[in-house]
Amino acid sequence: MSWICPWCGTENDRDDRIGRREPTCKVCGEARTTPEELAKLKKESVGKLEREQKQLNERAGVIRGKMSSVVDDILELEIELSGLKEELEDIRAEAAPVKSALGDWENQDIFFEKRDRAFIAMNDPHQAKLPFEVRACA
Amino acid sequence: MMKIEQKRITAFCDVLRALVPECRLIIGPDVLNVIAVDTANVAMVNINLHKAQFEEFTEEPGEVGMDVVKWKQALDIMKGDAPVTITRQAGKIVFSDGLYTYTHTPLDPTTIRKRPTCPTINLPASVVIEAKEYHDTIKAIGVIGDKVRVSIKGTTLELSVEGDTDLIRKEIESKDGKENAVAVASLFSLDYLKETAKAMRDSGTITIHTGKDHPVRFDFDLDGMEASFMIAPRIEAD
Repeated sequence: MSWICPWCGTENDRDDRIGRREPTCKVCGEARTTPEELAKLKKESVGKLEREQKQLNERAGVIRGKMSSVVDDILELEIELSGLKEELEDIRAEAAPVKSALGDWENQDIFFEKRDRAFIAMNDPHQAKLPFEVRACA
Repeated sequence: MMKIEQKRITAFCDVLRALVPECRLIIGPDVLNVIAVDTANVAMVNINLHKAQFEEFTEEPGEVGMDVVKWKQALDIMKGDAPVTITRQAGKIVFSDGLYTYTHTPLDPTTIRKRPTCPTINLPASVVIEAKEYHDTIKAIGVIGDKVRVSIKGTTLELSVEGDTDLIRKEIESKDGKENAVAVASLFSLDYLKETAKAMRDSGTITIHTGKDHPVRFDFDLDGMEASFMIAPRIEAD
């Protein structure tokens, strides 16, 4: 007896059952079933997949929210980075004359005048002279 | 002509060089003598190199304007063990060790400061100490200040320096054990003590005489050469 495959609508001529297994459609290969069972299966499958889709959408929404937050952070950090780069350039410009002056000072030779003990002694009001005279009050 | 071991005449120059760059050298019948004061009239040197220290001493007595730096330069060139001969020839001074001959034009003595008269000062306290120990002490204590207090009490010499925040002192016992009746102390410029200590370093022992706010006199003998330094004190009290 012929039967119509509810999956693809093909009319299958024979109903060869092998053991207790249902015959399969010669075109789509699906096992023979009733349209009501397929409708029920469709409804269940659609319901299940819609729930899964909803869950995935919810997770995607969370991720999108996080991404949006991270992008905002990146934008803020990029602005901050740009500011810091400008500040660094300013400091480099400020440091250039300091570096130059430091180099000048490091290369500056210092020439000490030889310690002149006679000059020091002559300018020392407490330094007595020779020939030494004992003060009258002493 | 004067013929002398190089180390003796070099030592003679070193003692003078501690205080003066030039001086009037008196050539006596049996001695070379210099009495000179430094530019600031603070320190005086009196040194005698006797005829006995010479291998030959036939130079006519007289006065020579001695450029101490030049003499030292000439002697530094002759770095041998051979004795040095010093002769006056036609107004020049000729140094020779047999290898080198160094002819030097002496200074005109009239352009050099006159020889001072040695002050006769009664310095009541004295000690005899090792010259090297004294030199090392002056060198060590000079790190914190530039004025040295020289004190003598009993048989002990005390050298001390007071800086802005620190004080360093050292006591040295007299070698002769002579007890000084009075305790004395005077303050001196480190610059002068350091230079003179260096010149006396190899003299064995030195005798230090001083008084209260009086000059200090160092008498020493360098291998038969008699010398003394006198340094005026710093007197801060009114």
